[in-house]
Amino acid sequence: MPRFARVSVAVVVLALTIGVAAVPIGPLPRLGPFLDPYGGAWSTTTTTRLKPFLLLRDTPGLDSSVSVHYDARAVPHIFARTEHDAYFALGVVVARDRLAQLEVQNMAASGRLTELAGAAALPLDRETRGLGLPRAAERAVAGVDTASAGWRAVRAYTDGVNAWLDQLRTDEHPFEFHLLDRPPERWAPINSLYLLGRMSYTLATDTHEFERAAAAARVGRAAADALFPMHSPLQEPIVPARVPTPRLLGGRLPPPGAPDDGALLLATAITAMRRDGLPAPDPDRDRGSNNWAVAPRRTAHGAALLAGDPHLDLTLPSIWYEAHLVVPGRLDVAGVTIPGAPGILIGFTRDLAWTFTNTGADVADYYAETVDDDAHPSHYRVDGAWRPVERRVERYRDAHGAVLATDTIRFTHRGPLRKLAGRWLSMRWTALEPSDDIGAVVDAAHTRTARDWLHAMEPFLVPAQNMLVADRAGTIAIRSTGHFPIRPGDGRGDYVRDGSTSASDWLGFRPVADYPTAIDPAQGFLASANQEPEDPTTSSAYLNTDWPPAWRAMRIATHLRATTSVTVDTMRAMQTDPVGARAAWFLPYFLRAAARPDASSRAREAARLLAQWDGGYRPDDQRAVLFEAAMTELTRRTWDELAGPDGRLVAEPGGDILAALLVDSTSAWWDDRSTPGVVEGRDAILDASLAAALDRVTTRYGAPDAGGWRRDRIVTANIFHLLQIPQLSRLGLHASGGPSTLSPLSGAGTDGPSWRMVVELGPTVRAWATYPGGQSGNPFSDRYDDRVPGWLAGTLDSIRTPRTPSDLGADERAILEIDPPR
Amino acid sequence: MRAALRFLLLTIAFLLATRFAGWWGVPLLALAWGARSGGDGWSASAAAVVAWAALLLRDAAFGPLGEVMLTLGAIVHVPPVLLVAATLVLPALLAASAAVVGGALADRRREASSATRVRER
Repeated sequence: MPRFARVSVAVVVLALTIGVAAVPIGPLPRLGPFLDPYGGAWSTTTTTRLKPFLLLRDTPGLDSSVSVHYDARAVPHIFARTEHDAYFALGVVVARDRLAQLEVQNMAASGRLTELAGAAALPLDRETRGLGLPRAAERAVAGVDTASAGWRAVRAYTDGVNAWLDQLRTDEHPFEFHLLDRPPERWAPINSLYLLGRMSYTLATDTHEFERAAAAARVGRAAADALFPMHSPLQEPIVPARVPTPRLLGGRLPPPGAPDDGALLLATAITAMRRDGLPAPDPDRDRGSNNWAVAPRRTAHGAALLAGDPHLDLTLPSIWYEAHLVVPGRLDVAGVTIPGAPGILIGFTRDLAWTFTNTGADVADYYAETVDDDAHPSHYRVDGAWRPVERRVERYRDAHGAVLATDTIRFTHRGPLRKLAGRWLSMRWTALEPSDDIGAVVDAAHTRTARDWLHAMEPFLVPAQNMLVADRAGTIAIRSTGHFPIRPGDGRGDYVRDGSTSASDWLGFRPVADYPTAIDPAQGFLASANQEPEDPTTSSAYLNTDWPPAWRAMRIATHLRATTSVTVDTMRAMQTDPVGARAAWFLPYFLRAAARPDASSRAREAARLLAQWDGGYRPDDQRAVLFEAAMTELTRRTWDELAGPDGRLVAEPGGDILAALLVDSTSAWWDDRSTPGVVEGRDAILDASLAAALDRVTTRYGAPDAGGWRRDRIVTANIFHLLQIPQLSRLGLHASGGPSTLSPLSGAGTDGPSWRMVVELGPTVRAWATYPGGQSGNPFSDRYDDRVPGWLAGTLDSIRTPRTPSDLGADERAILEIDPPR
Repeated sequence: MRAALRFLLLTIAFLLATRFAGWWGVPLLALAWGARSGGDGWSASAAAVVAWAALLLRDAAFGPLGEVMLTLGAIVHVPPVLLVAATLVLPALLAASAAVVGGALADRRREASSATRVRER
């Protein structure tokens, strides 16, 4: 080839190759950095194992040397001389194992997901920013007490995360950063507050105002109030009642009434909310968390026992990270933290143990505002005077910094102001107001008794939690802690209030002494499973409406009332109990309806099959599918008055409303509207539901015992990677559990028990736990998902809590030394 | 023997260039190599491929490279082997073309300086 031609070809090839390597093609990252075998995606292998020894020298921000010893379960045991250094090191070890998770969670919590996922994430970011969560975090930081224990922990943690980042080479970047083609961002203190705001969004939002309105628009206000009541019709409260439980409150459900035209407008808000990506009413709202504690007199070994399993989205890496912090003479706490939040959120010390379930209190209210300009309001009217609307411009950017969209977010003195279904509604929400949740967690780790722990946790306001604690002295206690608003008038927060008068505003917050609390109850145990905290005979104060049914609480109580020699293994087995109280309640009604002389043959056949079922939702079970189909049919047929034009229910009353209705065999709600001239009763609907369920299940899954009805062929647990990448997820897992069992599994199978823990508060506190994932965030590490098999099998790992580094002995796997500047 | 040593040194240079300058290190070093070697694209290409292959072997020594390959392939919807091939073809193309261009640039510079000397005479 002539020289000129050779050089010309080389120039073209060089230009093209550099172009391919340096410029991203479509959704792919830039190929040059991506394929670079030293610093690209391939180098992910270099961080799959913890180095046996790693020294971080000259680490700024540290008071003195910190020694971190990893045990055989890859749990870091942090030995520091000061608490500052312990939280600093917690930041280091979390960043070491979960850096990508920190980044992705922070992007979601601060409303910047579009910078990772592009325009597809715009609805989520708009929701986050539209609710004012980033603004609230900024305001909290601006007004923070910089000397508080919580803030000092946040700063130390931040410095720890950044210390890890500062020494990180490109080849040590987690896999996700190579895929996303971006370097990790530096951590900032505000990120911890974004995260807490995000947790509040997950746990402390509800749309009961809208659901109730949607029901009222169909069947009138009186019926809607009864379908979404302030008190659960089936009571097994958290605070033990003065009357025997479980119990039905009794009373007939008022019949469906005439549509409430006034609610129609608001009812359409649901449609608008769904369209805008806002949280829609959750038909599976009986999911949740469990915790229970048993007093020494009811346990086999005479020591208090505590169990907890918060149910959250199942993700890889897990939402939880296990750690142990030791500062001799000051702090010795083990358990789990959420990456981004300094502190052990659920765990134990040498004296006590604690865990949470979500209270689900109503801590957000909506106000219909009168604005000066319906298209672009700049003022809103309160008590006859116009007040200025605060405006904040939010820009959503893509990965390259280009602006994808711009929103103007408006705020009244109550909170974010948004137009929903043609109406301007502002929202006051406790999650948007300052609180010292991290400070409470940090302080509470120092306490030595259950009562002191409850006292230390008083500043923990959002999200409201049922805080269960037990100590070595044998005290068990629970309190529903949150910021519970005092509202004017009837005190309720389940309808949209008039925003044009300040008389609608909250009057303050209930004092802690007024919170639902129980300490050392006569029954010898305490349990919460997101049910209504107090029986109406104990307290009639408004906390919320439409509580999750008490099925799980009933099941826990059944187990604990049955024995006075509870062991750790009893507690562990309960956490994966495949049988639930819901099936036990409904099944006899189905069977009796099918046993009537005039029952249909299909219903009889369905009942024959269901009679073979013990109510257990095990992976190899072949009857639960029929029961669930019958429940779906029953729900649809009973609440047909609530169906919208598309046939779907605009609002679905809780399962306990349906359970209570079963007692009233001639209620007007049983009548099927599609059969004019015929008035159906309960048994006719149960019969029809059974028959339809059998037809549907047979059509879809084949003959009863041909294998198609196996539960693990129909419902599986699915643990998705945070970026929803299937190859990095663990899908189709054969897990035990069903709707309303203690280890719930239903629907898409993407949420469930995220951390199972049992603690024995004996002379030496001992604990067992697991979570569905692993300590490492590296998808190619053995520690990415090593706990999943045990989680599926219902086993727990024994947790090590060495007092000194040498206590780990042969269990030690790796050491990380962090030294301050010389 | 001398050629083999020269190739080995060049390979190590590509390895270090990648370590300290990332993938850009390959064309930059190849440009310099080409200028010095008179545009020896073949040696540059081969040395760059061997260097990146060595780095891949290092990755494999640390952990499950095969699993990474399979997963990556599935994520980007490309046969996994193609990803490995691309990882070796990329430095080959960068190094070969850059070495030829480097050689040409050096020739041009030499020609320009000798022309200047002729004019000065």
